[in-house]
Amino acid sequence: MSIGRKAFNLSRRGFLRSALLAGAGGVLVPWSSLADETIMMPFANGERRLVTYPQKKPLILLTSRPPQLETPFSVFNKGILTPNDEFFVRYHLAGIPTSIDTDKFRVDVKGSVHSPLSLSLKDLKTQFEQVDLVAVIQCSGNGRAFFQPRVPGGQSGNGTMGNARWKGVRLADILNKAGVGAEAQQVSFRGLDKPVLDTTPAFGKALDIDHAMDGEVMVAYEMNGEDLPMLNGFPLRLVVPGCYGTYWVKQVHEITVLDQHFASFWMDTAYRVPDNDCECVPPGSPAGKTRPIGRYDVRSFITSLADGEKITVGKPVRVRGIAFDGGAGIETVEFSSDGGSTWTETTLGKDYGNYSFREWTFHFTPRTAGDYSLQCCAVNHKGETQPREPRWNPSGYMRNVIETVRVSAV
Amino acid sequence: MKTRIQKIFAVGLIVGLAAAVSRLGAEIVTITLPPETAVYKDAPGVTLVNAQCLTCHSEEYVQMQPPLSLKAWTAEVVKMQQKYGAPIPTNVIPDIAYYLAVNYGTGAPARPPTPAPVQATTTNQMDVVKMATMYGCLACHQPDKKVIGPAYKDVRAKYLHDPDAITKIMAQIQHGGTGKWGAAVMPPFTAIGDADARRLAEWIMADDSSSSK
Repeated sequence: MSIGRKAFNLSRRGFLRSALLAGAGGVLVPWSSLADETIMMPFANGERRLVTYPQKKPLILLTSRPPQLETPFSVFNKGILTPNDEFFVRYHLAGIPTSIDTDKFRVDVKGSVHSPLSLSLKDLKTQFEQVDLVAVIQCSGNGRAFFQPRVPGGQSGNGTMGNARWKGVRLADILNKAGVGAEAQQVSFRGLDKPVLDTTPAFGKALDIDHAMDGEVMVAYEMNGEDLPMLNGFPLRLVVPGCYGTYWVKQVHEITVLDQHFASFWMDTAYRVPDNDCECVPPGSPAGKTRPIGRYDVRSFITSLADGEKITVGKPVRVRGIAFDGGAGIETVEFSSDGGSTWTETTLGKDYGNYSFREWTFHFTPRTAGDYSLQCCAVNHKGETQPREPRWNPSGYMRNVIETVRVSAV
Repeated sequence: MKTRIQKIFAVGLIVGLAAAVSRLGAEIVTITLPPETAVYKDAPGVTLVNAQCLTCHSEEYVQMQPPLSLKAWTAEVVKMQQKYGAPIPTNVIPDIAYYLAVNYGTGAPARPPTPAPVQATTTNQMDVVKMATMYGCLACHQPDKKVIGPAYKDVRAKYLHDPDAITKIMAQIQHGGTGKWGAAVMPPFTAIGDADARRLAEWIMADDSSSSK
């Protein structure tokens, strides 16, 4: 699993300290007093600091400029929705927005439309049907540090994902108000983040017109009932249910309907996967022909136990976890206590929709003392499941192997 | 330290009301990012790496990587130049990759003792403009216009009547900082010693830093 026992404890202690400091001093949470906490992730060069960013509890620091923060894995056992202040953060370019005037913020809808729009937040909240959706956002490189052989890139464990209730407006409603031209092929999105140098490609993503108009893609101003945290895209971000986080453009302020393909480094060169059925190549080989990354593969995790934990012989343990996929929805989750030799179906929790984490639980009783390799494996409504052996690609994207948590019964 | 979330209500509402209607009211939300503390390992080549790599990203981008080979590090530096538009002179790519492989990778074979062009120069006789270029100052600062950091003429104007100007600018160079000139973060340039930092600070405060362009 992603974080060992030690890491679990340390991150909890980090919270405690932060809570105490906040209690004693009102809003005062000095960075320096929290900056010394470190955790050890279970891969080479895995020592990480826990650092407190604005509107956030201590998170695993990957990089500070631009900020990339990973959610400690223990957070995923707290509930189906990931708290905003523990939600991961990932920017690409160091020119990130740190101040937003909500009165002046506009999202412009332009390009191949009949009437270009410039919408304020108030316009979005008053002129369109308000919708909400529970959906997972997951980094393309979630779990990249577990790739073997290792690959360069953001070296995160499995904590660059999160599940939230997003509230906002359907992109289709906005595009229909603007009136999409008959020749439209793609819709591109830009946020307020900027490269440091003019020579660096500005961040931008695109969706095919049919996808943009599917009624599920939305622009969201609220997350779990609150404004988005600044580092998660305040005041407005794109929500592309079931698709990797690279498409969920933060601080989205330009929506452009295009009659041609959107030419961008971030679509044409970066965030691409091998163009074959498994989106994989033999470990260590080049990607070959590629296509833009798309929807999440099926994944599942044990969240209630971490590597190295001790359980008691003869005593039932309620094992809990989460599963999700790219939008078909979870059909079943099976559990194995013998490293995948035998499997038993688990009990699924409340259904928050096909794009949400789905809770599963299983009562497991270790009959004899010794080591147990605990695994879970999900199947979605389309019959897609998780591989026993990890699929590899040179960018470290789309990890979805059956994960293992090793515990001992004493 | 004050809370890093400041909400300034631009409309004249009493506090209780403002909380209830803030979503539709005008509001400026501002965050202040924590200071950047990571620095490149102090080893031969660090000056070059600071100059070429700190402009766009912090040191953790390198530090967090798995131990990469010289070949893999070379590919990363080339990617920065070719794909991300970093203005890295092609002739220093091997020097940067060598530093990264030795200090953040699987190591590199000993190199023939050909002096690296940048490291071999002693700074005490160096023209200060050349020194500012070598340390990477000019990647973010220009004499008379704001680029990423403030123009030197604006720095000079700010500190013109400050008796501690030199000390403050030296501290800014060596320890970095944020918030004085906007959201951009200046990383700490720990490899710049006191003598060079003083020369740079004195040059910035002298009139000729903008005329020498």
